[in-house]
Amino acid sequence: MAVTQAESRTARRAAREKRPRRGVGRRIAAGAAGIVLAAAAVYVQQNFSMSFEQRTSYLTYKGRLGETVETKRFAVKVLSVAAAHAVDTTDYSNKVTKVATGNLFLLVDVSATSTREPMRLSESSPPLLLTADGRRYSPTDKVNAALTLFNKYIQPGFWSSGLLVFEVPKDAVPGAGLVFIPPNNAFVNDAYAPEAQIDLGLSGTAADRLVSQAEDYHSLVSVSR
Amino acid sequence: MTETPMDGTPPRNDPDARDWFAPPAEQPPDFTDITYSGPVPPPMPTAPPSVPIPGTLAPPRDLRVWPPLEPEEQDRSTQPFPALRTNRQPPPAAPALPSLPREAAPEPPADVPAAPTRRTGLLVGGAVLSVVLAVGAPTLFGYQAFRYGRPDYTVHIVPRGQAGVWQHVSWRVTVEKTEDPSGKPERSDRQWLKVVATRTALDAEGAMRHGQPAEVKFTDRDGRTWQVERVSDETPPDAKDNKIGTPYRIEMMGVVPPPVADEVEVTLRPSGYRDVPDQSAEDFMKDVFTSTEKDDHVLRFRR
Repeated sequence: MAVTQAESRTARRAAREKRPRRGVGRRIAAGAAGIVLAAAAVYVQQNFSMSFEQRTSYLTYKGRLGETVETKRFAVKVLSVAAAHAVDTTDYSNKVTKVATGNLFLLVDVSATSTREPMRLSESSPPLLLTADGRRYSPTDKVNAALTLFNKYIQPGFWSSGLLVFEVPKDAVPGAGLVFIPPNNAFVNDAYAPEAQIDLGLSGTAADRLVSQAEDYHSLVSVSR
Repeated sequence: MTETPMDGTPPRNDPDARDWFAPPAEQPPDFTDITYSGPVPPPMPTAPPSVPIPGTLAPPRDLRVWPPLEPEEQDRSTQPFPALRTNRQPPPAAPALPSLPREAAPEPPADVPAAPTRRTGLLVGGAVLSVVLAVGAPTLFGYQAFRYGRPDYTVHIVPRGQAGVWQHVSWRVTVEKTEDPSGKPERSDRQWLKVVATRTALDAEGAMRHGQPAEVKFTDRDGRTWQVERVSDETPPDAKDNKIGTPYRIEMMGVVPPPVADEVEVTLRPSGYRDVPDQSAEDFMKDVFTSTEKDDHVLRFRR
C-alpha cells in the first residue's frame, strides 16, 4: 500500500513538472516588476512619509494673529503679543512678587471657547511656542499658573481670555508661532485631537520692534478679567 | 533469572546486526528455508554423468490443466511470515510496478487544473483576512479606548421640583441666577448660576454613602456641558454624624451663556463611596476591590 502511494505521488509530480513552464521573458519581466515595486515602496517610504513631528502631533489647524481658528472642539484666537523683561507672579498666599529674566518674556494674549465641553489647559500637554527653526518652548514656570489662561475654564458659548507667558531667548522671536494644544486624557491619548497653530506675525521688523520695545515690567495682577 | 542466548550481550544496532537465529552473511543462503526471498544464484554446473544413459530423454508431453495456471508473480500465500532482521534482501517490488503507472496516469489531469484555483482562493482569502485584521484590530482597540474614556452612563430623569433617589440617598437640586461672586463687573456674555443640591440619607446605608458627587455639570438641550464648581458642602465628613432624614446642602456655582441660562439642567453623578463606621482599613480595601458598583448613574434634574 505504501509503495502504491509513493508511486502515485511521484507519478503526479512528474505529470505536474511536465506542464509547459512560463517563458524566460515573462519570468524576467516578473522579476523586474517585483524589483521596481520594492524600490518604489522604499522610495515612497523615504520621501513621502510624514515626519516624526507630523506623525506624533495632533491634527493641526493653522491661522494668523487676530484670526479665529475654528476646530471641531474649540475655537481660539490670539489677540496680541507683548514682550517684557520682568513680570509678576504670586505664591500660595497670593503675595505678589516680581520675576525678571535675562532673556525675554513673551506675553501672548489668547482667547478661546469650546464647542461642547468645558476644558482647561493642561500643564502636562501645554500650549507651545514654536520658533521658525523648530525649537519649542513651554510656558514658563516662573509665573504662577493662577495668573494665566491655565487658571480659566474654556467653556461653550463665551470666550475666555488670558495670557500665556513664555520665557524665550531674543533670537527665538522672529517667525515664532503659538501651538494651542487642548488638554488630552493622560491615560487614553486621543491622537486625532485638533490643535491650532497660530502665526504671531513676528517677521523681520515686527520682531525687531517687539524685542527693542520690550517693557521693563509688565504687571499681571493689575489686569482684571 | 533468564539466560540470554548471547551471554547477555544486547543486540547491536549496526547495519549488519542480525537476528539471533539468522545465518552469518558469508554463509550461502539456505534454499530449503521457505521464508527466503533473496536472489537465487545460478545453479551449480553439473558434470555430465560418467556413465551415459542410453536412449534419449523425451520432453514431457503432458499439459497441466488443473488446477489452472496462475501468474507466477502473484503470491498466494496466506501464511504470515515472521519478520526477520537479517542481511537478506527485501522482497522485490517489481511485480506491483507494471500495473501502477496505468492506474496513476489518469489522476494528474484532474488534479492539475484544480491546484491553481485552490491556491488563488487561499491567496485571496489570506489577503482579505490580513486586511481585515490590520484595519479591524486597531479600530477595535481604539473603540474600546474611546468607550473607556467615555463610559456609558445610565441617566435617570428627575421631574422638576422632585427628588431623585439613588442608592438610599435622596437628591434635590435648585438652580437660580446670581451675580458674579468675585464682584467683577457683569459681562453680557455670561450668566452666573448658583446650584443648591440637598442630600438626604434615607437609611443607614444612605448615611454611609456621603461622598461628594463624582461629577456635577450643567447640560443644555444640545448636550453641551458647563463646569459647576463646589462652593460649600454641609455634609458631615463622618458617617456617624450623618443623620438619616436630615438634608445637607451642597452649594455650587457655574457660568453659562445667557441664552441657555433658563434651560440648562443639572446632571449629578453620585459617588459610590461607602464609609462604613468602625470599619478596619483591611475590610475597606477588601470592599473597594470586591465592589462591582461603578459611578455610572447620572441624575438629570429637569427645570
